[in-house]
Amino acid sequence: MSPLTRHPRKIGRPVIMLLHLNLFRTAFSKRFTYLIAVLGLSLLATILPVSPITPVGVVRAQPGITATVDRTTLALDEYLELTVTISGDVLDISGPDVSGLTDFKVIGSSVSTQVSMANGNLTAQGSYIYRLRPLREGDLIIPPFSVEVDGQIIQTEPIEIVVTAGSSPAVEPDAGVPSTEAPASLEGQNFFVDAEVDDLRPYLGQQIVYTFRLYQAANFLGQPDYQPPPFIDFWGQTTLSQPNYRTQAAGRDYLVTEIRTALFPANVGLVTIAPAKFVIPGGLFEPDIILDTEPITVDVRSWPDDAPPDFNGAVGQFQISARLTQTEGKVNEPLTLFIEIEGAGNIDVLSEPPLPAMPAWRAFDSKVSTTSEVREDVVYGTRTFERLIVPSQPGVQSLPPISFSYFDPQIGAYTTVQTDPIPVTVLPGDAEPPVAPITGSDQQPISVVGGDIRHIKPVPAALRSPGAVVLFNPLYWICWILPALVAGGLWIFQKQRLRILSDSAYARSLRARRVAQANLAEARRLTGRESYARTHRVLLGYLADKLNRPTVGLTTEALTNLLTEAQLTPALIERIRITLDQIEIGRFAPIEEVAAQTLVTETQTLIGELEKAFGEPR
Amino acid sequence: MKGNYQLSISNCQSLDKSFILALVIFLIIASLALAQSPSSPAEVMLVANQRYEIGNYDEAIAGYEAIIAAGVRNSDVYYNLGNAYFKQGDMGRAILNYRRAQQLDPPDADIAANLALARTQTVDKLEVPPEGVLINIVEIAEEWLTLNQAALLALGLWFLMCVAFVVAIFQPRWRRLSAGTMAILAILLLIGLMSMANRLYKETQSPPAVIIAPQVDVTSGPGGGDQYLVEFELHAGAEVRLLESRIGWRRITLPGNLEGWVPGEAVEPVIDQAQN
Repeated sequence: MSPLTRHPRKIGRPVIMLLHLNLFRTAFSKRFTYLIAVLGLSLLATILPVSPITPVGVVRAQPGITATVDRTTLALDEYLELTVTISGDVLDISGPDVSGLTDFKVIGSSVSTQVSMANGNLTAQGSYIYRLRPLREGDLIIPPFSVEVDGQIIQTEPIEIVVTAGSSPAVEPDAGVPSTEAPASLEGQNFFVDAEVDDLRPYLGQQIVYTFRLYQAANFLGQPDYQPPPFIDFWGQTTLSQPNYRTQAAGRDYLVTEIRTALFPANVGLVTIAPAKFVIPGGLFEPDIILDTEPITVDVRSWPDDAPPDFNGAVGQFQISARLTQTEGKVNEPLTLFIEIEGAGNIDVLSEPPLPAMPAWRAFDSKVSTTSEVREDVVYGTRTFERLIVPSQPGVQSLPPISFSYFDPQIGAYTTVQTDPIPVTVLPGDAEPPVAPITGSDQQPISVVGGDIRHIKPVPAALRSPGAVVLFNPLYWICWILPALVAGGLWIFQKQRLRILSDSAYARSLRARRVAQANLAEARRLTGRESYARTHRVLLGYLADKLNRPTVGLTTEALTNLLTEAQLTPALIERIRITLDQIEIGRFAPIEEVAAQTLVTETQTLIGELEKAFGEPR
Repeated sequence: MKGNYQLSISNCQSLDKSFILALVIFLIIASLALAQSPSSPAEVMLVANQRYEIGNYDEAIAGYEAIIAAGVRNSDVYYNLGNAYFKQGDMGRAILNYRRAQQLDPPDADIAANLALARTQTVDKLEVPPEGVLINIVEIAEEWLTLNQAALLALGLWFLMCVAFVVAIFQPRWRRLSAGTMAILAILLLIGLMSMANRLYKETQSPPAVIIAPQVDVTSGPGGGDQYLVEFELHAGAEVRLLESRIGWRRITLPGNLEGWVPGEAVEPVIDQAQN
């Protein structure tokens, strides 16, 4: 398993609370995490009811101590890993005493503590890992470690170590992976990353391997996160192997994990691979550790100029083959031609090799399929082009060779391979010529190659100038006013109409003069007493309408009071009274036609003045 | 015409023969002049277009300018004239005439396209500061309507508002609908009126103009660089606004609060006097 996923979090299982805490050498961190674990589990123990059922698969740690080493033979300049595992009561457990390691120098240590609770009991198991470097050659002894657990003294067996002079092959987790020289800047760091590519001057389309390397001298607190760079100028980011191995630098042993990615440059010139990022989560009070690689600049070379005519961008090492579904067919009956290109390189982008001239055949659009795999960090694959070809003439024919050119970056030259001719026997057929299958559209976006102004306009039908600005034409503003006047007039009219309909006094007052004028005209045509009587009714009726009173019972005295209330002038009231008296006299005196007509005229004049005096209808 | 001359001669036997001869010559010249009467603007434009088609832009320009000098203000003529200047590489006059064409026919896509292309060919990059939303709405109306169209549209909206008002008076059931209609019409009318007012204000207070000189120094006063400080320089096609005119000099302003004086012949207002 990769160290990147070595310690997944396992917190939160029901019933069994298991905390797997990886602690660094930092004293504060170790004690604090331990304390948190103990306090948390103690709290849970008080909250949760003790389960009467013993959980399956949980083995309570028995008190004891063991010591193991990862190798018993090593060279003088190498390191070994000693692991002392102590289990017992959570409160009594303590680390081993390594002061007896006189033949070795402790150059590093780490602690992994596992605290578990089952059936209400807290137990702990601590794994103390020491990196030891031998101080001399010969047969050395790692002395027994003793520890007091639950009041008992328990000790391990001594371990014999054979130390030879010079160097011996290092023990590597992944055999066959060469150890990489660690950067000098590793000194004093628990984690370090770097990145490189295997070829800084590749050809366009040539596979290169981007290697991200993590140097690790301590365990992670949580799940780390690798964020690869955005390979903008490359395509085909195929993840290759992820080997790990050990290396030493600055007196420390580092576990190195590589993440390799196959890249194919897509642009010519200097292209830069942005830094990769590796995030290691921190503890409760420790920030995350964020590691960045350096950017890498790659100088991508273009292909040589002497490319064969059928070269279409294939880079690598390829072979081509072709076959037919059957070597015998009929005229106008399709056969399927498979063209396979197999090899190492940018297999996913290979274009179909052009078919040679085949006058006795018709070819239709093809289907493409690709399979790829990784062999020893090289992308291999097979790209298959499937074409329908239809013979149009009977006889023994031969499909001509199909050639395919690629650029081989290993030799820096173009290579052309071709298929063998395929003999085909075509029998006369009776089928109608096949209809070309409808395949995907070949539409392409329009590419503008030049811009120019739009062309001149033809002579218009009427070459006229625009009219003058209407804003300066009085008629325009009259057109604004007219609708407003009409709308305003209609509004007043409607308002008046509604008032007449709803206010009878107003309606009587409004029509009083009109009615009086009509009746006076009638009185003028009458003679004698009838004329006086009509004039009397006209004047009284007019006044009754204006005052909104009934005519009946309207005596001169009452009329005078009402007119006074209506705030008519005393002179006018007196004149009304005199006119009414004269009419009364005339009705009962000897008839004088001239006097009657004069009185009608006087009444008419009086009504005119009264109309002004009453003013706006109340 | 010639028969009339002979008739005149027969009726005027007593006149001096030399005078009659002079009169005949005059009338013949006059008749020839009448026979070669000036072509109509449409015919001139047809010829100018033909000259343009064969790449004779000088004659095309002369033709279009003659039409304009005859008092014809037509967007197609200005547009074609702008094209001819564009082909000659005179971006100042090209932009000037595209702008004049656009004044007469704001929504024309060809004018807008060529104007935009011509603007990319100018030397001076003028940064127009972003305007408020209301100003943008008002100026959108300017991009689509001429002043007369906007005025007539506003009148139409006003008429519809009055109709909606009358409907509201006489049909109480439709009063709510009428009120909503009036509100919408009022908003549109307000925008239209603001657009007109804005356009009138700009065209009267700071009318648009275009630099037509290939390069001109903008000075701090109405005089040359030896008299006033040269503040900056402009090139053909720069679109400015006129603030003031004095004899031989015009005061201009640009976006970005730039101001100065340029020789009168270096800048041409978009709205020529006849068009105005």
